[in-house]
Amino acid sequence: MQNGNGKVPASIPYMRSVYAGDEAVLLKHYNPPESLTLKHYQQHGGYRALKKAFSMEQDAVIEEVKAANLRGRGGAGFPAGLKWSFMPKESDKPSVLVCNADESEPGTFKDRALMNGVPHMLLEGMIIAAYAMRASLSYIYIRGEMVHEAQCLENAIAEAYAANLLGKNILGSGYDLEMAVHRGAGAYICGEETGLLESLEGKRGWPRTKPPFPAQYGAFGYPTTVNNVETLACVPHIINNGAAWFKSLGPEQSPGPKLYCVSGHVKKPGLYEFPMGINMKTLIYDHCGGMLHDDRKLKAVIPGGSSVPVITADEVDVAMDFNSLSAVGSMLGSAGMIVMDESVCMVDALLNLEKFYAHESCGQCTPCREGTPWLRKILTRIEHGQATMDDIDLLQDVADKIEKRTICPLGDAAAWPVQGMLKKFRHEFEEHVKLGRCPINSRL
Amino acid sequence: MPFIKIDDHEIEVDAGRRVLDIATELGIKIPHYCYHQALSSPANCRMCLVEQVGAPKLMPSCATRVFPAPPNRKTTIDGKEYDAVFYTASPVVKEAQESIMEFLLINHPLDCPWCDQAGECRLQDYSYEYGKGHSRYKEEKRTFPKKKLGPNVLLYTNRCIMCTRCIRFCEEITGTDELMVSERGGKAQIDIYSEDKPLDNPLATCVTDICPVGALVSQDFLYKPRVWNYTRKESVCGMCASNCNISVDTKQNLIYRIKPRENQQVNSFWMCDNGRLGYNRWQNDVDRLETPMVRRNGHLEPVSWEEAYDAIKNGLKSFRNTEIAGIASPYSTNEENYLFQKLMANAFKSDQISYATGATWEAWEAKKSPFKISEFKSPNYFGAKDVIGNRHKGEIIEKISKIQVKALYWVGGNLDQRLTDGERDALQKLQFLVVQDVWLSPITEYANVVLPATNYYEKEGTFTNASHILQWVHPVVNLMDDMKPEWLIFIELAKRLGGSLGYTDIKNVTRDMLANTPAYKHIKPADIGSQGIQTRR
Ligand SMILES: Cc1cc2nc3c(=O)[nH]c(=O)nc-3n(C[C@H](O)[C@H](O)[C@H](O)COP(=O)(O)O)c2cc1C
Ligand code: SF4
Ligand code: SF4
Ligand code: SF4
Ligand code: FES
Repeated sequence: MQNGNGKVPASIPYMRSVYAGDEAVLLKHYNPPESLTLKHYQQHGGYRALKKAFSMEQDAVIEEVKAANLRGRGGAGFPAGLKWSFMPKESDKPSVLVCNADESEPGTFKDRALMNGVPHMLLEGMIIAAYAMRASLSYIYIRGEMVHEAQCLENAIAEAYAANLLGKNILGSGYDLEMAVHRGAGAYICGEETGLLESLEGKRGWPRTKPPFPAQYGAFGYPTTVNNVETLACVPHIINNGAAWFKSLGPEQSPGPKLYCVSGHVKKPGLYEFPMGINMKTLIYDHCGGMLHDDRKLKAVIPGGSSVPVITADEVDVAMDFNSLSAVGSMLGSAGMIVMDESVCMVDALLNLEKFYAHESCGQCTPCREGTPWLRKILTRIEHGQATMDDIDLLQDVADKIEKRTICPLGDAAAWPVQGMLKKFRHEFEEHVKLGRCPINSRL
Repeated sequence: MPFIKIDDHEIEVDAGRRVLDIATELGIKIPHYCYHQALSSPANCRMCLVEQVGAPKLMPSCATRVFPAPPNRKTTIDGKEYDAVFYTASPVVKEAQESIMEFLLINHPLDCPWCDQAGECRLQDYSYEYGKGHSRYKEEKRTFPKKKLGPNVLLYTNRCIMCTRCIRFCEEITGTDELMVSERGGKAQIDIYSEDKPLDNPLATCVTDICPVGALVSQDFLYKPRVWNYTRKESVCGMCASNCNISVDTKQNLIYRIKPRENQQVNSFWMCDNGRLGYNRWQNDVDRLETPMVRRNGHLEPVSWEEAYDAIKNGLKSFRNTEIAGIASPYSTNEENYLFQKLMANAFKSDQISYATGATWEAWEAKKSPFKISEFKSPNYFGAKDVIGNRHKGEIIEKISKIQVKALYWVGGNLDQRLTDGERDALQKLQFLVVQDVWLSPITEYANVVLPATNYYEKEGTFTNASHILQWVHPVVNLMDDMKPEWLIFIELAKRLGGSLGYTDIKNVTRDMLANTPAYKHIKPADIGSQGIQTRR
């Protein structure tokens, strides 16, 4: 595939660049505002998969998704079909499907493109998933700041109701499904699935202890499955083209089409679609036009949104899929790739991230509530040259003591970048201590 | 039933039980802050983390329940198969406990010297047992203003460890929902939703009992002497017929604090603010009667007990037994009412005895738990009915009005005694009135003889509560010099009147009271125990 087609939607202020070639699956017909409409979606084969799904048994749909090995695009890569199979086949309570559209991980901007470009693809995926799980209620929980995207979804839902793609007896199948958009108030923690459920119920977004898992006790106490936007958008394509086709895209262990969000020091930052497993180096140098400044070298990449450990320039010759990135000690996460050149101070970059986590910690559990501001404070001192070598060990130790001891993975997400940076760039931290100042940031 | 191992203990337990509860029963101490038996378990403090063999991380024992494991998921240790295996004091667990303590203390003000919780603070206790002893925190501590959450409760925000027990209490017990968290992350703090809805539900001060640290303090107890200086005694609250179990801290015969004591049949872990703070009225506002008095020339004058007994003897001599009646008190113990009845029967040969209702006002029920404040504001309305029989004072008042009854012995005890017009008219018609009361009340206005009565902090015996549970009442303070326990008054008076009741102390009175009261005759004193006994079968 060549460098993308660089479609720039005029009406959408923040989506700078979406690059999707003709072989793209999810963004192939991305062309807002036309592609927002039901008509456009149907002209390009939309809602055919839904009709096909209705001709299948519910469990057969789940089996197909399982066979496709669709792994969750929300960050953890949990197999979607397996998650759906945890839902009760019979229940005296209604079952619920929630689409997680909170997308707030720094460096991540993929779900919003699906919502502001091809919202009906998400809707179709949701209706199929809900049908498979015998859910009668569905919600799209969308980050509060995404006002435009929420409007796109509202419009699409209204169109779908009018066309009997939602509501009672959908397309004469006998299946009923209601769908609503729920706007959050702009908290990162409401993207964590149980924090999301609390928020959806109108409460403070404080994650729940698990077990019980959402499939047992979810929204309003009903059996619930939470899936990411991109995960659900893959579903119609699996039903249309079959599991074997899906598995043929990218590596078998984590297959399918994938959206990559590239930001930072490259010439053409933007949203790229490729089959899973694109080589990071190829992505940076061939597709994104290489480094932003020709005279500055690549220093590091955070491959999967702010929470995942950093990798160095030497490690970028790696396939961008769940397993390959785990193998180099990082994660695919949300595929929000942050590229940093040699002008970036790693201490400062980490400080920036830890400010984010300290600010976004919900404050519920001790290690994260107390630990994240502590990390931020230690890093501030290191960056400002007011730290000792002991403080570097302390930084490591505090991160280690947050990790795995919290209610939700936000604590881990705050700890991993610290652990990653200290593993790969410890010398920069030591340099700050020795010099008593930041060697790079002149403003200090 | 799952078969599990916790440290060295192997045990079969009911499925679904919490590891922390099981461990506690086995005598294994797992430190914890946020978990409270009466509340939900958000597992937010992370102090109770334990190691579960095979689990990828440490598990919060407060929220981890045990279930039978499927055959392929059993844990085998030394060739033996378990459904789950936990270690509560392994090196990783200890290291985790140490780190949680460090996290909790980095922003804690460490103002133990002037904290009211000092001496009964979990943060203090656990620092000693599980902490590191020094802090690596070099940054400035965060500080918050202290807040008055309601009329009786203060929040020392800096000391709060965000365990949310107080919030959950208002959500899950009272159902009044006053408290919330404002802000988030390190800035998160407990607060009320709005100034218009302060924390002043009837159980509000209970949040100070369950706050594991010194963050929530009772306005009433603020800066009182350090907790280790008190003598603690157990009894039941007498401010209403619920009879909540209490422990009372006293010093030099003064009450400094009353706290609820657990009794799952009666009050769970709670008590109301009225009951908790009611002692202040007795200690500060009420001008207690301390000596007997006799009316001479229209005025009540202090006299000795001998003189008072003689005045009663002489005053009642001229009446026939059908002209003498008694009104027993819902503020008296069952023993006192029993003896009073015996006194009336033996010494005055009168069986005209009834009970008064005492003060009543609206009952209050917690929305989310069975806790109830009784509408009967006397401690022993139900006991009085059982012991005296179902005879209300109205009958006697009527007989007085008709001048069939001419002499009356009225045992009071109600701080808020009121008389109806009918009662006033009747009392005016009396020729002789003996009143036993705690202070000068509307009834003592008509009295010929007044004897000082005791209150529920001074009594010994039993009360029967609104759910018919009979419990021991113990004196938590000593009587003032010239006073006598009321059971002794009845015994001495009977003897003086020539109809000895056959007792010299209170020991056997309980036994006979139980045996001779139809509703209690199946109960022996030894059955009562520390948690009381349900009298209705
Ligand atoms: C702090 C935090 C924030 C998260 N934010 C998001 C988010 O914005 N969108 C998302 O889809 N998943 C997010 N997740 C992951 C969700 O908890 C959940 O795993 C995901 O929605 C499941 O969907 P999937 O299985 O389709 O990937 C977040 C997780 C954490 C711990
Ligand atoms: S880890 Fe952080 S964000 Fe998650 S529950 Fe605990 S305090 Fe809240
Ligand atoms: S005030 Fe006390 S009970 Fe309430 S959250 Fe803080 S520490 Fe817990
Ligand atoms: S409910 Fe009644 S018995 Fe309980 S504390 Fe209050 S006044 Fe006392
Ligand atoms: S007591 Fe278990 S986490 Fe607080």
